[in-house]
Amino acid sequence: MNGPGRIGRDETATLRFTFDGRSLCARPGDTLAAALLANGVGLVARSFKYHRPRGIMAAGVEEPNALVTVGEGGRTEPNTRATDVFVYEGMVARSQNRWPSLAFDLGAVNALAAPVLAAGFYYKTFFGPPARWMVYEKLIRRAAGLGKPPTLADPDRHQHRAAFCDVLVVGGGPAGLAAADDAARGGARVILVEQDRALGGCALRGDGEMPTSDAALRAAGVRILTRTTASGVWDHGFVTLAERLVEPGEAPPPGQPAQRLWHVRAERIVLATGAIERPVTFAGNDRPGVMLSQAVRTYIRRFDVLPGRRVVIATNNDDAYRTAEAVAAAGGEVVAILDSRPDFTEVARAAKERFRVHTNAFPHSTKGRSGRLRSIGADIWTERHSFDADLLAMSGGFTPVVHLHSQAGGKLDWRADIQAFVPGASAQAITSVGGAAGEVAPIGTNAVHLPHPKHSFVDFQNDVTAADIDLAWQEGYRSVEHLKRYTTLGMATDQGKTSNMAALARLASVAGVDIPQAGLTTFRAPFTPLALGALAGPDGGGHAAPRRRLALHDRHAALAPVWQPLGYWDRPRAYPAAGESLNDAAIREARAVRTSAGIIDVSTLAKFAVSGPDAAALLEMVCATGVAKLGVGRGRYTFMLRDDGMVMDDGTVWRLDETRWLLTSSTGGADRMEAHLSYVHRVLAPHLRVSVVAQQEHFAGIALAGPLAPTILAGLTGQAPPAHMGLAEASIAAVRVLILAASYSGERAFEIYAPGAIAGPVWDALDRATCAQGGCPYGLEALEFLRIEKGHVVIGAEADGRTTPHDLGLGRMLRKAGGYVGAQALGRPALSAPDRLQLVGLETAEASLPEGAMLVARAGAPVEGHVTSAAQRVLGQGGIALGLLAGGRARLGDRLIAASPTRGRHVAVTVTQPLFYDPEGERYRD
Amino acid sequence: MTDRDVSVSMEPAGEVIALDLWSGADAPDLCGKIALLRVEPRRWWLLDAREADLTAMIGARGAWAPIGGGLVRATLTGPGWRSLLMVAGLFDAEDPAFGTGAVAATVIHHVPVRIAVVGETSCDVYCAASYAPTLAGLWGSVIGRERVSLSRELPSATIGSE
Repeated sequence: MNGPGRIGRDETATLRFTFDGRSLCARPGDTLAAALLANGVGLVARSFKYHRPRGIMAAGVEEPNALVTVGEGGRTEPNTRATDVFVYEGMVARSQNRWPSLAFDLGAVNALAAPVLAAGFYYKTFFGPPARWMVYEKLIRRAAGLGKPPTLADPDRHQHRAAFCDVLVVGGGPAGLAAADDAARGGARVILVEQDRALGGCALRGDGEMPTSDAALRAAGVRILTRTTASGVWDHGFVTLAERLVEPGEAPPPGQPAQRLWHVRAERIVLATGAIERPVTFAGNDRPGVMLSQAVRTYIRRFDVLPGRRVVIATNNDDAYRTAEAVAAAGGEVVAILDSRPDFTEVARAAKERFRVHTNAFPHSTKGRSGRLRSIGADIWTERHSFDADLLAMSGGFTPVVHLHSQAGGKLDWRADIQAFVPGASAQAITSVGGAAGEVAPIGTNAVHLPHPKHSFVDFQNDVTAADIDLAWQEGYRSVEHLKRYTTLGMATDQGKTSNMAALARLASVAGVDIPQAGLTTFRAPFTPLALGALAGPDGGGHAAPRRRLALHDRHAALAPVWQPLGYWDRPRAYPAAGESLNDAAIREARAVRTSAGIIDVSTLAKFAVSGPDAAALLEMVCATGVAKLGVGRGRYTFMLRDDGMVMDDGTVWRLDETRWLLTSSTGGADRMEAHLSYVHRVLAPHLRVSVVAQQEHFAGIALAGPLAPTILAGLTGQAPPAHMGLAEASIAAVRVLILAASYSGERAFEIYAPGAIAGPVWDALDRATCAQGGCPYGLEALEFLRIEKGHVVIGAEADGRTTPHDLGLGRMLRKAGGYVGAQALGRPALSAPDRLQLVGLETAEASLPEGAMLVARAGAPVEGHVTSAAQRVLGQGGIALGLLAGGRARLGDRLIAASPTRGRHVAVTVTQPLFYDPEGERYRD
Repeated sequence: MTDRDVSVSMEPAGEVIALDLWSGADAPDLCGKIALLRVEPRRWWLLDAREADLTAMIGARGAWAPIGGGLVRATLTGPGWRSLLMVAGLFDAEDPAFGTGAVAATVIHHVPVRIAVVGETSCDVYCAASYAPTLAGLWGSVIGRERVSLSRELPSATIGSE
C-alpha cells in the first residue's frame, strides 16, 4: 500500500461529507485536508495557469495548492483552503478549475503551451493590432480565476462588534499562551485570538508544551477567540479580527451570525503569529505528495493521518529531523533524508543512527503518475540518485509571520542565519514573540543549482516558476514590486506566504545582490481572505447606512406613497391614486397647491434653537443676510457661506423673543450645519454667551400651502393666521404648535411645527381640513415642480458648492457690513467675474427637459453650462428648468441646446429669468 | 455573560430639555433638584422637566431648548447590556469604570446615541426617534426580536427595515 491514509483503525470517523460527489467520512476535528488524506485522496486541485495536478502542501492558512469550493447555494465559498476548513456533517466540497474532472482535466493542455504562457504573457497580448486583443481578451477572461463565486445571495448574517483591551495576543501557540497568561496575571484585560479551532499552535504537532490551558486562561479573565484571524493592524492599536462562528458553507444556528468582525482597540499588542515553513525549489516540487515537513508532522500527530508510506525528507535545517521521527513512529518508512548542508550537525549525526542521511544532498526532480508521487531524483555530492517514495517532506527554512508587525508600520531586520526578515523597531506598542520574532531553526545557506528552472515552482498558487523570475529580470523588471505585478508572484489568496522568500532569493541571485537589497513587497491586510459579508456586517444586503423614519411615517405609509430616499430619510415622493403614474400624481398634487391647498411633511428640515444674550451676534456670523434687526415675531430667508465664499446652505431665521431664535436649514445639510454652528461658536467666537440646540426631530413640520391655506388654518386654530414671514403660536387638535408663515411653493403657506412624538393628530386635522377644501397631501415631486416654477434654489442642485451668492442672484441680500463667515472671500475679484456660471431660467415648448443636460450653442459647440433642475409647468404647457450658464444673466433671450447624449435628447431652450410664476410675489403676500 | 441576557424597551423620552450654562460652576445647583444627564462639558439634559420651572431655577445663567419631541429612550435591562452595546459599537461599554451615573456620547451602527448607566444591570440609550427602528432592528437581530419592544407611539412598531 502507498499513498496517504489514516494511521490505525478509523472507527471514530463519524462525519459524512462529499468531495466531488464522492461520499467520505471524517473524524470530528479533522480539517478537510486531513480528512481527504485520511481517505487516500492526494489529488485535490488543479493549478491556476497550467492546470497541473496539485495536492495538499501545508496544514495551515498558508496552503497555496489545495483550494476548493465548499458549500452550496448562497453559502458557496470558493477558493477555500482545504487546510483551513473543518469538516462538519453534510459538508459539500468540490475541486475547481478543472473540466471535465479533476483526474482528467482538459485544461492541462495549457502545460504544453507553457513557453508562450510565461511571466507577463497577457501584457504581451497588448502588442500588435488592437483587434487581436479582442480575441485574447475572451480567452483570458474565460481562463482566469479559480473557483466560481456564488450567484445566490448570502443567506447568513454577519456581525460587527467592538472590544477594548489592555493586551491583545495574536496567536495561541506556546508563546502566545505564555504572553496571555503573563498579562492576565498582571491584572490586564486580555484578548487572545487564534485562527485555528484549538489553542496550542506548534504544540498540536508535538513541538513544545502548552504553558497553560484554555480553562486556566479563561479563569484568569482572558477572552479567548478561536477560529479568529487578526486580519489587519491599523493605527493606534486598532485591530480587526475576523471570527468564524461556523465553517465555510455551514449554516449557523437560527438567529446567529455566520461571521463576526471585531473592531479591537488594544493598548498593547503581542504578536505570537509563529513562522511559516518554506518549500524547497526544484523541478516538480508542486506535485501531489510533496509537502512541507512540519505539515507532515501535523497530519501524523494531530490528525492520525500518514500522508505517505515511503518518505523522503529534503531539508536545510534540523527541524525536519523531527518529521523523520514522527514518520517512523507512525509506521512509515523514511527512505532518505536529503540534507543540503555539507556537514553533519549534531541532530543529523544522531539521526544517522536510524535513517539514511545524506549531506550536500538536493532534490532535483520528481516523477509521478495519476496524481501520486512515485520517485524523487536527487543530487548527492557529485552523484545523481533516485528514490522510490510517495511522499517528499521538504523544509527550506522558516519565515516569521511579520505581516501584522509590518502593517502597523514596523521595520524589518534581516537575519542571515535564518535567511528571513524579523520584526525590527515597532511603530506602535507591538511586541513579537516566539517564531514570529525569529525563534526558529537556523538553516544552511549554501547555494542550490536549479537544473530545471522552468519546472521549479516558486509561487505554487500562481504557477510562477524560477524561470519566470529570471525572465522578468531579463526584461527589465528591477523593483520587486514591479516583478510581483509582472509575474503575479505573491498575489491571490495566499499572498505569497510560502513563496515570498524563495522568490526574493531567486531575484537576489539573478541580480547578484543580497536578499535585503532585492527588497520586499508590502504586507497588506487582510492576512487571510476575508468575506465581503463580514466587512458589510449588519448592512449586508442594503446600504451601509441607517434608515431614518419620519415621525409621521405610519400616516404616510397608510396612503401608499412612492417613497424617495433622501439622505438617510425616506420621504413620500408622491401619493398616486390607483392607476396613476408618478408624474400624473405629482402634477395633480402641485395643481392642488396652486388652486386650493396641499400639505407636505417637512419634518426633516434642520432646526436650531439659538438662544442667549449673544444669539444675534452668532447668527450674524453664520448668516450672510441681515438678521439682528429682525423684529420679534418676524422671520426672513437667509443663507450661509463657507469660508471660501460659496453658498453652503439656506433656510429661514425667526426671532421668537428678544434672546431666542429659530434657524432652519436644508434637510441634507442638517449635520453639516450643526457642525458649522458649533465651529463658529466654539472656534471663532467662544466668548459669546449663546446656546445652539439642534431640534431637527424635536419638531415635526407640516407645510400647508395654497390659496385656501389661510382659511384652512384659521378654521383649525380659531385665530387669524400670521402675515407672510410672521409667526404665531396656536393649538391644532389640542396640540400646541408654532406657525411660521413662509412660502417655498410660491403660494400663501405656513410651516406648522409640533413636537414629533405628538404631531400625528396635527397631521390628521390638517389632512381632513385640506381634503375638505379640495386639496390633498403632496410629495417631493410636486414640491420640486412648485419651487422650480418659483425659481427657488435647492442645496446640491443650484447651490452645488461652487456657486457664490452673486452666481445665484442673491447678491442683493448680502449684509453690506460684512462680518459673516465667507465675507472676506467674496471680495476676491474672480468670484465676481462676469463669465462665471450664473443662475438662469430655461424654457422649452417640449414637455420636459433632461436634468443635467449640457447647455451648448449648437451641436458640438463648447459646453457653456448645464441644467440643474427641470420640471413641467404646473398650470401651463411646456418645460421649464433652472440652470447654471456662463455669464447667464447677460444672455436672456439666447437660444441654446440642452444636450444629453446619454439620454439621446437635444432640446432647444430659451434663456430666461429664473422665475416662471408670479414674479411680483403677489400670491403669497397678504 | 451573553448578548441574550438583556431585554430592550423603547419609548418616547418624554419631556427632555437641553440646558447650556454659561458657567459650569452653576451646575451643582441643579443636582438633587431635577433628574439630569451631563452630556457635554456645559450641556445638561433635564429629564421630565418643565420649561416653566426653569426660568426661576436658571434665570440668566444659561439658555435651554426642548428636545424631547424627537428623542427616544431605550432601556436595556439585564446583565448583558454592556455586551449588547458592543455590537456595531465604538465605545468601551465593558469598561468597569463606566458605572452608574456615567454618560457617554457615541455611535452604534452609525446611529448617534447617548448612553446613561442607570445601574449594574440597566442603562438608558437615547437616540433620535427616526433612528429607533434601525437600533431596534440591530438589537432584535442579536437578542431576538421578542426581547425588543417598541412603544406604539414611535414612528413604526415594525422592527427592522422595510
